[in-house]
Amino acid sequence: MPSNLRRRARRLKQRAVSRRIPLRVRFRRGRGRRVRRLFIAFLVLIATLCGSVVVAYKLTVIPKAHPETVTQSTVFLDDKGAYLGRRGPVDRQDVPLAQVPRHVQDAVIAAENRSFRTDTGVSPRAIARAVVATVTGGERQGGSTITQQYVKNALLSPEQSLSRKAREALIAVKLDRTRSKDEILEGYLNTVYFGRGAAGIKAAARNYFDVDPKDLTVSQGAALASIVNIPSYYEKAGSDPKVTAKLRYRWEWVLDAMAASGAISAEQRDGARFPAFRFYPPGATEGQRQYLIDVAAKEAADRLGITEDQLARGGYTVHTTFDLALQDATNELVKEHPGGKGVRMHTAVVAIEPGDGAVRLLYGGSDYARQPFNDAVNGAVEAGTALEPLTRMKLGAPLAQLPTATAPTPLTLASAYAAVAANGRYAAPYTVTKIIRDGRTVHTARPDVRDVLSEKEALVASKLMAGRPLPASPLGLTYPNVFFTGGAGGGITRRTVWSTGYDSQLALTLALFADRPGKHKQEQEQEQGQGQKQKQKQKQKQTSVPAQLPNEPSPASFAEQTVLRIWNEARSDQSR
Amino acid sequence: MLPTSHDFASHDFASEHLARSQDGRAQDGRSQDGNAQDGRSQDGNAQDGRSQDGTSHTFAVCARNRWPRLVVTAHLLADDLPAAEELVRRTLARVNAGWRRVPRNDVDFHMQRELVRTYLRGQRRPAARRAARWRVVLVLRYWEGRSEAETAQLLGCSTGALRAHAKRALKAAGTDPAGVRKSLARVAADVVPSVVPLDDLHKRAGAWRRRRTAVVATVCAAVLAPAAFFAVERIGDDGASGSSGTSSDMTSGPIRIVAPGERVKAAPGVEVWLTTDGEHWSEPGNPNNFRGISEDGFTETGARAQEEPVDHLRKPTGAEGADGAAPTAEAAEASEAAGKSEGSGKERADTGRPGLSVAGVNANPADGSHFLTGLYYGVDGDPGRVEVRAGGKKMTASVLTLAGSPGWGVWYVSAPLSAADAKLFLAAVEFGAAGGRGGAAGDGGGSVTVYDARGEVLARSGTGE
Repeated sequence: MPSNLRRRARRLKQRAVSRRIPLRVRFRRGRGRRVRRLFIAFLVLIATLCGSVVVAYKLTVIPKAHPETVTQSTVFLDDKGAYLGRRGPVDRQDVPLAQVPRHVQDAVIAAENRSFRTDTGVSPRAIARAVVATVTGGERQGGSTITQQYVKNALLSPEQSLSRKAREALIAVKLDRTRSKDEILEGYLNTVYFGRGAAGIKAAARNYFDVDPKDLTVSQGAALASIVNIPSYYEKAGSDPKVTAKLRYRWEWVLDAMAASGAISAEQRDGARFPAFRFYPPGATEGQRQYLIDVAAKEAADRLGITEDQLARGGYTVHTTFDLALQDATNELVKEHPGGKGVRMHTAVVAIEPGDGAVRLLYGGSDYARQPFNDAVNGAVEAGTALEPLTRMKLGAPLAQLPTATAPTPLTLASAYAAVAANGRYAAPYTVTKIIRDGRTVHTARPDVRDVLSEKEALVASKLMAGRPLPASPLGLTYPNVFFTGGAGGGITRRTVWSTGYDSQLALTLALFADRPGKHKQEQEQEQGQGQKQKQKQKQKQTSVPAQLPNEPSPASFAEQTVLRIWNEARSDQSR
Repeated sequence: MLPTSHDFASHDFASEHLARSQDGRAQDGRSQDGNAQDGRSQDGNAQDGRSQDGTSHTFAVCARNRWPRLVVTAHLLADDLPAAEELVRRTLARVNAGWRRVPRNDVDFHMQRELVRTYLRGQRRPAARRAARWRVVLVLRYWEGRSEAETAQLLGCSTGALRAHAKRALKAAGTDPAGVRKSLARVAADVVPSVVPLDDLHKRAGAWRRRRTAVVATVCAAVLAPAAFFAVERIGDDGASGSSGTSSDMTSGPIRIVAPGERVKAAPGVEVWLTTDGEHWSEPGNPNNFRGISEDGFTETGARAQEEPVDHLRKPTGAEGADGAAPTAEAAEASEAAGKSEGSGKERADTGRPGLSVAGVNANPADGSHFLTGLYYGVDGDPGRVEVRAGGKKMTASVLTLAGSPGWGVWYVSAPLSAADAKLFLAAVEFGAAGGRGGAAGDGGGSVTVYDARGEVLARSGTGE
């Protein structure tokens, strides 16, 4: 190569090397490439996310329902099916979806998750809408679908974290693909919390409106659906005017949604009135109920061969023999006794169906909170002359010991009188007619009858009891066929009074007695050891001794009048 | 520096430059950086061009400047001259279409890169593309003499990749850089100078721009239409949430449902509860009060009837007032005068027509108020409100009813009344005695009115409006 050219080349090279392209230009040149790389990285990230979601979904399993959330309580009903009370840790009873009216289902769907019947378990639209509503302050409809809420309530333990939310969403989608919408809705309605201690629609309908779910009206259904949103706040509806107003606003919104979607007609919408609620906390009814529930629960557990705790958690419905109206009326009548000075009055009333054994009335105390001891079932009451008609008879088992017993329980003596009323046929007293679980009857009562007296002897006993002249009733009350009063003590020193009235359909027995606090029995328990002071315990046991009945009002006449009034109450109930 | 001869003699400058470069090319075909020199000088011109004609940095000028050189490069890449020219036209059309985004201080680079891209895009098969890439590497690196970094930037790959490409290209060409230059020079020598076809470029650029806008518009539409649909539906749903005003109810009074036997503390010392029979209430000293409801509307013959032999004379107190049965009225008045509530005898009310009754009036000695309670019946559904007027005052009573809208229920209120007013009230409502006794002029003793949810009167008992 010629030297001048080489030199030129070198100079050019130098010039080329010395002229560096400025950084900004270089940067601008590489821009396209960088953007491309970023975009690809972004796509890869999205793909990885989707992939991880798919993997997570495949790995998710639907957990079993959390045991705490599916525990039910056992409900007790009286002979007419009226609610008596419940046993169990939570107020929750399952109900099949078929017994929940369609408008109630639609109300819950309209309030919580309008797209429930068509969505896939999670609804991105609902989430977006919830965000918008939160930002703009509109009516709050949560971003969770009903399926998600069900998963949260029933299937997962109640922590709340972001990962829990993600898991909840995955399970919801899987659940939606494996179960029908009706199944999910049924599970939801049976587990969601409605406030007032009630979980599930059946307990809620009772706690708010005292009805079964199948009797809920459109307005009531919409109100319950509105409450689900913030149950611990809305549960005060009816008492707190602010809460009631807010609930009413939400109730209108739910009804509008139902009308818009065609779940209810325009006439139904116009005709809907904001419903009336029960008191919360509810007014006291427990005074008598707990006695009845105690007895019925013990018997039900025995019949089923399970413990009472298992009964309480098992979700049974126990139909009892008790007549709640009669029980309440008796409670009121017995309260009329003014009591005595320095003595505690006790009244025990038992009403049994002769020949059958169903216990219609079992009054053994006025206030369970003060005296859980059931006088009628466990109280030993001196019989005195009350046993006279039976003393000379030979009674078959299980009443064989009765004629010689000094202090039978009112229940035993009442069942003996009932046997006489049934012409010598003894029926073992029972309080549980049937037990139902999951719609299936698991136990039905069968009268356990046996003859303890021959008919002739029964007739003799009857005549003995009915032989006395009957005083006129000042209130014009009817007398039962056989009316008999006896007791221990006499004159002005009566210790107990037994008053009985029966006919072939009902045998009613009342026992009146009194006791007074006895001497304090001191029991010392000394712990073994080095004689440390604090280990020495002193227990003072309160004893009671039988006392004389107060003479004002006359115990016999009070007992008789009360029996007559209860008798007439029972008769009028029957005729109605 | 001001714009000078570049504008005026553009045409001449180009041909002159082309002739020069042609000569230079003929010369530099032998030296290694002749074109490079030209390229540099052209770059230098471009740099100077920025400062020289800063205002008229138009595409036309830049295109005119670079057209010859681009044609040469294109010819080196493509097989024949028409193809090369077509290549350059396409390139410049795209550059023109996106002229706004081409940085003015680096036009040459971007045009060159666009040329390379257009060339490579035109290759169909992967093998052809690889061969094309090698060609590009050879031309840019060894003919134009660009640095590694710059060539990599033009190709859009990293320098390491470029080195690999170069190695393979040289191997495929079978020569060393000098040999490459020689063969390329021979091809370059065939280039015939031409004029930059600005009109065609403008036309193509316009077409290109239109096509691009159309594609972008369709893609946007495809993406945004579902989103818009989605948003509209969402708004549509929320639209229903504004509560359409239903019939505005009058302020309804407190009405509660109770279970049978559920005790309600209605006033200090007074408990009220309902059974299916009717109303019960207890007050201090008087535990067992009852006012009954009967379903069939008539007195029962039988045990109950014996209690109140004159019961059948009692008519329901309807809207027009009652014709009170005298004996009962007197008995009630007598007991009422003693300030106690009505006796514990059971009484019945007719459920056939809407009606009201007063069951009890009880004085609370502590604050001189009176507890008034009674039944309403014959109502369809639940009442909206029960209003009690007594002693000249209007009060809204609390209402209790059993579940299931049985059509009857209990109203009660604690009213600050004097004993005399309470008597007048009872007389007015229960017996319809107008004006009360004692001739108090004006609105009479009192009344109880049941309104339904719309505010219409369902039943009223008593005097006054």
